[in-house]
Amino acid sequence: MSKPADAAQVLVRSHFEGIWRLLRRLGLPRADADDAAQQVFILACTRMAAIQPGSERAFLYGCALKIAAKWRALQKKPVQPTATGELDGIDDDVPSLDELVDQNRARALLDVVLKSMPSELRTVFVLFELEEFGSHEIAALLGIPRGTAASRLRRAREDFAKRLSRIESRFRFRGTVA
Amino acid sequence: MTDPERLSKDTGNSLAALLLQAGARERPSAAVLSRTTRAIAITATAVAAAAVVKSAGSASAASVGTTSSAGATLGVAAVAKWLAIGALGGAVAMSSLQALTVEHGPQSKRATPAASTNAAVSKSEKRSTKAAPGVSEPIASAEPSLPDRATLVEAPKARSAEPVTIEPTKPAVPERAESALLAAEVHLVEQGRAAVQRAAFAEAIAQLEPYERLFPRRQLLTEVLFLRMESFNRLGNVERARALATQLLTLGVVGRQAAQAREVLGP
Repeated sequence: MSKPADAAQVLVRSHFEGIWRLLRRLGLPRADADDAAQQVFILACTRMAAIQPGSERAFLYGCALKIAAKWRALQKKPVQPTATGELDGIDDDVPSLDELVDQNRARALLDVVLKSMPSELRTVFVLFELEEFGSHEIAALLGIPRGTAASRLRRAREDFAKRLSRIESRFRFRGTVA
Repeated sequence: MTDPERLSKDTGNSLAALLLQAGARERPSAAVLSRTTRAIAITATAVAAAAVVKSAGSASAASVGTTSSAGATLGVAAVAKWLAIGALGGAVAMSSLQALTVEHGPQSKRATPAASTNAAVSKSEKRSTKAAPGVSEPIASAEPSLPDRATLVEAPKARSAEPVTIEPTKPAVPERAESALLAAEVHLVEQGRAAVQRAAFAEAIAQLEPYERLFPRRQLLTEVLFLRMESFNRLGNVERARALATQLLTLGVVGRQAAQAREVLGP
């Protein structure tokens, strides 16, 4: 196998999970995330010579963000961020903790909360909280000043906490959370 | 400027931390990782083939008029081309073989527990609104529930107990291989187009020459014929350009390509 191919395989081994997870948390269903993640790496493979050493991660995540944005734009019903009050209806049919739930449900709940967030806040939040980017890396990736990234992150965390606390308070009210 | 502590690192077992940890634990299936690896191998082979042809084409163009070296260059180009075709064919065959193994082999050999779980999850996701009682829970249910904290912490063990379901007829691997081949095809055509834009017409012809043999599906054939027609026309080989123009019009091209082809054919 040639050197670019080896380099591409190294990228796949190092970043595929992260890219795939980012796409999932940005709203792509599993099957679409599979395709989109593959697309990211094929693109990287064809552009391998142009990617600066050390900037592979930024390249891959930048591609993934663009593909996710394109995917969202192609949806028939684009997801609109909701006011936190509109989350009240989400948990009406939620079973209590007695009905055992698993990781999948946790992720589903996470995705519902993320989906309701404004996309600019959601992107920053996912990159920081799940993919462990620093605010300076987020700033570079999104092409925004670091102060803007930090401010956006602060708002995103507040927004996430507010949305989640509304759901949690419903459970407390129902006596299902200690 | 210091970044705040990540919510997922919260040791107080907050709901936010548990949800984020669950999100961070999600993994793609082993099958999709394997498919991507194969697609990368095919793409890299095609890209390398295009590069070899390009360099051979450049050398060939530079040696026009030098009879003694032209033969040698042509020989190198031909050998490189056939090597590339062989490599690509091998990669495609490997991909198909592995696809057959994955799709038609015994279930126990087809998937790891993790892959099986993911397959089950993927299937249940697709039928999210139709899940029958007793069937595994849909991953992206519209009505998620609050997760159990103990289950979240012990998740890896719990997941292994999930029912294993595989979709035996899903032709996923060939589709991925096809998309990789299409990407390689696009890459080759883009190389040819770039050469035409640089007015390096001989190079464009050399780059596009192996197209039909490298890509039997010929999904971008009209693009290739058009670029060849342009190149031959600009090099003054009117006869070849007209033959290509006729071929293009026979294929039913429209718009700019058709207009250009008619122009080449003349009144």
